[in-house]
Amino acid sequence: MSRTVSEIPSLRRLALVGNPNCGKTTLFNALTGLRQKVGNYPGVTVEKKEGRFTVGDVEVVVIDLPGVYSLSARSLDERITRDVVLGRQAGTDPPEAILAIADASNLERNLYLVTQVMELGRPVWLALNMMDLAAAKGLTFDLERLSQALGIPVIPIVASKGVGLEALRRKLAEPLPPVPTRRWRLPQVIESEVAALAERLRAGSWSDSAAAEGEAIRLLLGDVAEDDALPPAELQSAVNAARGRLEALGIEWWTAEAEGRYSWIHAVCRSAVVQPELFQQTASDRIDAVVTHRLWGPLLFAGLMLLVFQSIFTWAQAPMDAISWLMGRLALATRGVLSPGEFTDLIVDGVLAGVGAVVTFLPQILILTFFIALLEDTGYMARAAFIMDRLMRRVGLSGKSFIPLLSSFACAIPGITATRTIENAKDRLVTILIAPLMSCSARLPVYALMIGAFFPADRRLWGVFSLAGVMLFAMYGLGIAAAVAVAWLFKKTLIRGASPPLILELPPYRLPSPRTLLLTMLSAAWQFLYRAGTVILAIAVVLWFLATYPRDVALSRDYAAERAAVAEAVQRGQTPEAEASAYLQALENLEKAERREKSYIGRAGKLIEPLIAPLGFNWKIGVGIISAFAAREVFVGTLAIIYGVGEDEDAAGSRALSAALQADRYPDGRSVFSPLVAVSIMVFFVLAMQCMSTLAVTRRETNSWGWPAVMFVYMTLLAYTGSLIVYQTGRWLGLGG
Amino acid sequence: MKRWLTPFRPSVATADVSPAADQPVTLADVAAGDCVRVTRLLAFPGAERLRERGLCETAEVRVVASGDPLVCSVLGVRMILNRQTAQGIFVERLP
Repeated sequence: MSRTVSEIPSLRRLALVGNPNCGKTTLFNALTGLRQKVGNYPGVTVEKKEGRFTVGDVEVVVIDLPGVYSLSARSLDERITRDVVLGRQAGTDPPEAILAIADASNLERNLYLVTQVMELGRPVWLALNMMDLAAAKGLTFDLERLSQALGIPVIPIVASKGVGLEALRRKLAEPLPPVPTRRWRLPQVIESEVAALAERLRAGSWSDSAAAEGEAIRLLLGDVAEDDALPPAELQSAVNAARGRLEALGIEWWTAEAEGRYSWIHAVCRSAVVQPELFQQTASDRIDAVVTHRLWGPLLFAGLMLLVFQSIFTWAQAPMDAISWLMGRLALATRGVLSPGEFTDLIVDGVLAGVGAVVTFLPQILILTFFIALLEDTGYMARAAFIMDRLMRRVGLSGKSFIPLLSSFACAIPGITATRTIENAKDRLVTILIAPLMSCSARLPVYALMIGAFFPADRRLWGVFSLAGVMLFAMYGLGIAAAVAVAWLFKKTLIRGASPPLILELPPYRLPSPRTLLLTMLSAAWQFLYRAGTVILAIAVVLWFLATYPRDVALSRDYAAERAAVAEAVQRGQTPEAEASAYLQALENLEKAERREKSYIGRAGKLIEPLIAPLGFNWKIGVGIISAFAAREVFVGTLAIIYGVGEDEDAAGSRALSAALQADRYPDGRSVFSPLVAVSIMVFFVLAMQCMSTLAVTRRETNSWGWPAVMFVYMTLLAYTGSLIVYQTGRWLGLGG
Repeated sequence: MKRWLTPFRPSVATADVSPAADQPVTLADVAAGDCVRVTRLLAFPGAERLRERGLCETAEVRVVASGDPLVCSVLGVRMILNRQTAQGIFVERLP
């Protein structure tokens, strides 16, 4: 290399900008690998992702920005992108240059954003992605000519296969290219208004000199987001006056920007790209003829979901048993290493039992995440929105609202964040309010425990589907049905408004990238284990204390004396040893049960028991539900601690817990749990708002405490009523319990 | 709402488009497989978004699947629009 260190800056900040679905995230991951830092922009929940890579002596920092179609700042994502690039976003240093990425197979549409980015007053590179897809479409590029026509360097890549990344990395570390100039032209009258406005912006130092023209175009011809600040009054009146002058001349200025940019882009592409035919019937079209079919579409969608839920049970069993076995060995080993005492009890019966019971469900969460990532990565999500549009419109929303809802199956937090693509504020609000009704992965351990214990996986329905899979499907279905009903109610009462337009892109089907799937699963696993290691661990410790103390309670019988009596009887040869040990075991279990009932948590549980008895819940379930208000999966850990599963020497985790639940009896000998009670518990979990993080995100996204309050109240009422109806109807029908 | 553009836009009511009997007028009336040119977008919510994505005045659009929602091809990209939106897009047939 001929360069010396002094010639180039050692640190370079780049912003990565591109349309949705153009492979931006794939490129970001491929460039930066695991050297990423994820955070949030202050005040909003738009994810702030920074990664870095090194070429020679140059350290390049890449800021990943939300995928947007334009910089007109009509949505929050667009505003963040614009503000970060212009250095207006608080807490983020402005980037020196911009790496724009475009889908080569849809170049014209992607170049719209690129032309806007070129007007921001920063050097720009264009990474032309998906060159393989473009070649398959029959497109050939004259890259030299394209680069010259656009006035920026163009680098061809295939981000998903790593093609061209080395060249791109090297290019990004070279000295910065010049700031591009605007080459497309508006009609002359509008041009002079833009020039005048740009001059005003420069004079009042509202804007960088190089970016003033772009800013003038945005102000004059663009729109503002509903929650964006209006420009200062002085500028507003200048803009309004200019628009008035244009209208007096009969000029429809609102069509000028799109027409101007697209006609220039069209000319550039005609000169540099050889395209056999603009419209081609694609394989995606043929697949869509079936997938979005009036009848087959919804059937296929339902069948797909059913398959997903079934595989959650069938595939997860072996790894779950393995984790379960491992936790059991760990408990045993801990008892062997540590001397008996309170601390050991805390570790084994509190931490290992509580956290262990939750961690067992990791395989199921991974399988669910895998399928949701698969639906997203193949492009099926947009088809789901298409299929659901009819239904969603009936309740006053558009199919677009269904995409955040489907993501909420993984977790409501990214789901609520994803509502930012919904332009209409009212529809967005309704979507946020119903998103937590979608069964998130934190509910999965609860469903899995209940279904695993009371609905055997080997029972088949109609020969094909396992009863367990169908039950799980039913729980997810109930969440969707409740969401639709609640949305309808909100649209009729609190949040009235007409059905929104549906404008959505159908991306071509793509083979999923194993790397993306793997990264998504890894990140889900990490989040789950992180929660298990923090929130759930803390709650497990607290619960263990509450379930263990006070120690000096008045017991109904003198267990120690009885034990001594048995031991004495064995010594005297009056009782056979086997019989005595069984009796001693039973005695110990009785004592533990009584102590737990008289512990702090037992007393608290007894206090609320009358309130939840109509739902078929005993005090232990009640305690579980209350602890689950911190995080839903805690329910499983709580039951494990209350049922003392960690003390079983040979097994811990789900199997032992299932057995303990099946064996639990009321004092009068009735089973505490039955399939009916299990369904009642699941219905409660489907409908209840038990997630602090979701409430916090709702507060941030709606900018008020009122909506999270509404969310909490309506969901809690719904959950109680739902469980009450299920349990009481079930009893009335004689379904036991 | 702070949409400060709105007062200047022609509303749906003032649009001087009278449907002629002999040809389809809006995108909602175009049969699958037909190719048309956009003549005018009414000021419905979302019109700006359509323009940015290439469905602007003078653009060529091909309807891939008709119905509600319909699928159309704009600059080679498939987009879905519901009927209500498509009815705000006035088009002329291409020869």
